[in-house]
Amino acid sequence: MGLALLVAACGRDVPAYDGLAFARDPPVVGPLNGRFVISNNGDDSLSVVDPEAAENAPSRVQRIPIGFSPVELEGPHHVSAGPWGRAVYVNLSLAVKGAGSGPHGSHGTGTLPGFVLKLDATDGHETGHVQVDPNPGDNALSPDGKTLYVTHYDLVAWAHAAHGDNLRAGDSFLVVIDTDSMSVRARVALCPAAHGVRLSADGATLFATCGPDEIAVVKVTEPGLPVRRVSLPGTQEGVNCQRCPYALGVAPDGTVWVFSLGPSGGTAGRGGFDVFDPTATDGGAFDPARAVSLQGSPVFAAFWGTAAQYRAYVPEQGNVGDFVRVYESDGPGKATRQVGLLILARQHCQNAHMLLVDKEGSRGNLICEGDHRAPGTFVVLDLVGQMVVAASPVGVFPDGIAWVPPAGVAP
Amino acid sequence: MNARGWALLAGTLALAACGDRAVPAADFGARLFSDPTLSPSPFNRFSCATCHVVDPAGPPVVPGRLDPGYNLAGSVGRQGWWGGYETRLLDAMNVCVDQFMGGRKLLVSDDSAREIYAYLQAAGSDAGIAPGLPLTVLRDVTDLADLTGNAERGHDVYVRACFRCHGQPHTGAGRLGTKPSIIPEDSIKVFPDQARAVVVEKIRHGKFFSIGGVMPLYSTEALSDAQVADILAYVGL
Repeated sequence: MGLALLVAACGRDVPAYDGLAFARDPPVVGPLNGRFVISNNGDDSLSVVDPEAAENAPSRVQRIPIGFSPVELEGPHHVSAGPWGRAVYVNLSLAVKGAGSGPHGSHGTGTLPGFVLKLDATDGHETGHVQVDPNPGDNALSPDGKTLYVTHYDLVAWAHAAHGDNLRAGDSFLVVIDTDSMSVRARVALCPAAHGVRLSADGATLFATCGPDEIAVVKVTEPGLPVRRVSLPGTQEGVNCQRCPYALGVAPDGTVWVFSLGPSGGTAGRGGFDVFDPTATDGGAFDPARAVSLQGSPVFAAFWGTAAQYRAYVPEQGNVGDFVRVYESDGPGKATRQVGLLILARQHCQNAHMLLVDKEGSRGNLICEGDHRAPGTFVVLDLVGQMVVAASPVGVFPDGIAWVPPAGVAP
Repeated sequence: MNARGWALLAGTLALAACGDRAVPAADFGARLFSDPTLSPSPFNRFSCATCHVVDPAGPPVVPGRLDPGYNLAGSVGRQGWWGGYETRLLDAMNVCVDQFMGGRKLLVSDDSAREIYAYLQAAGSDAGIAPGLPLTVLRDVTDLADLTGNAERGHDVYVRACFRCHGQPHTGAGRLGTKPSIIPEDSIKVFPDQARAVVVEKIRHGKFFSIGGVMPLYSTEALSDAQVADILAYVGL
């Protein structure tokens, strides 16, 4: 049969190749395992940082462009890494601020649906994507990595609802994604402009910040994913925010630290944080004694320690500078104590945004937004000596960081 | 002769035995480069040559033409394409195939992909790697009201940049099929109060930013604001 085909093919011009095609492409970046990946909202890329190299060779930050279009600014916004080191998930917010303008007028308003991309951890290439609501904000993975929860910081919907008499019309949705099939498993109305999202250690309860001075608490293992909204102390849900919660974190003792930017989204600072205890009566409550007010705006913090004793490292940005404040808690009803302060020089960090702490609790890995036009920075912190070890330029407007574990090893 | 040369010779001899003629893949690639049927879409009129030249002696932007895309001689071996956004040459090619030509993305195993690669490789040097070229997208557009163009220069710019697709202004005579708009009448018809800004937006954004169609965009490296203003003066906007 082979001979017959060969004979049949005779008499034609056939191409003779000289070498392998596409052999001179630049080497791929990867694997991502054992490295930090950083989503750069302002230039459609991920930065890949080897934490050890970053201390000694700041220039060795690698770059992976992501998104669908080489022309438009699609705004990768926050990133999560699967627990088995196989995949990385990035929100693609689309129609982000500064994305463009013109008489056709539909861009830049944040009304286009967003996406979540699934990237292979070996080299960052896209292996799947799923459409979500406009303005995907933060995301969080279940402990087994099979479910991704995505919030939507939809200020447009909130603003529209504020002009009517039904604030619920401005609720953004929590989109629940099956990460194997990259399909939407559920879509649950949360609250207006949900953003920071994290899960309890057992993965059964989800916490998200909501624009109008509240958090949403979702029992994600219960049918229908029931949602309970809890207002910050001294506030009530409305068309504007007084405190403007934006980020949160779950501490080793299970409490939820809710970080608020301050009035008008923190334009003049005066943010702070509140501590929510999910084990308190009636499904959990804020503990007013543990609230802290700040001059600037706190953002995504990290914790290190045990339930009995831990520290919270809280990045703060604002007009008076950038800091990482270190806190300890003595438990319910007792004031949160600041036990350290790391002052960040402008050349190292402008607009601190998100911090991760290593397993030993000795190194902090911080991303700073920069001025949103030039590259931001990845900053290695000595948490014991409370000093900056190194700072490396990354992409424009970094806003999310995740550590990709070694392949096949659960953290 | 190196190993690749022996392999080429062996293939040539084997094919000669049954009457087939072994032709360098680059020759196939050169034909495909100018062939709109690279895309199976019946609506497509574009080929690679609509927006690119391959001129080993020329600079990245060849003065005789004002293409939206760079001179592709030497593109093999670059460290990035589309302003560094694409890091695999096939992905870069597929942006055009997918976005402008309405075709199915090429696979690395496709003959057409390999043949075009061979053509580009033959037109470049083996000098190794080269940095990618910039692609500056002007995201926020205006009607360039602060720039006064020159109609005479605009005629020259229009001929080199616009005519291949849009044909003559006002009539569209000689345009590439019936899809390209007649400049500026079609813009005036749809956006009577903003036609000037619409034309600028279309030049700068092409089909992107939710505009639609199949037109590529002109980066600031490909066309300056002054040249755009000259086009506007020439077409009477």
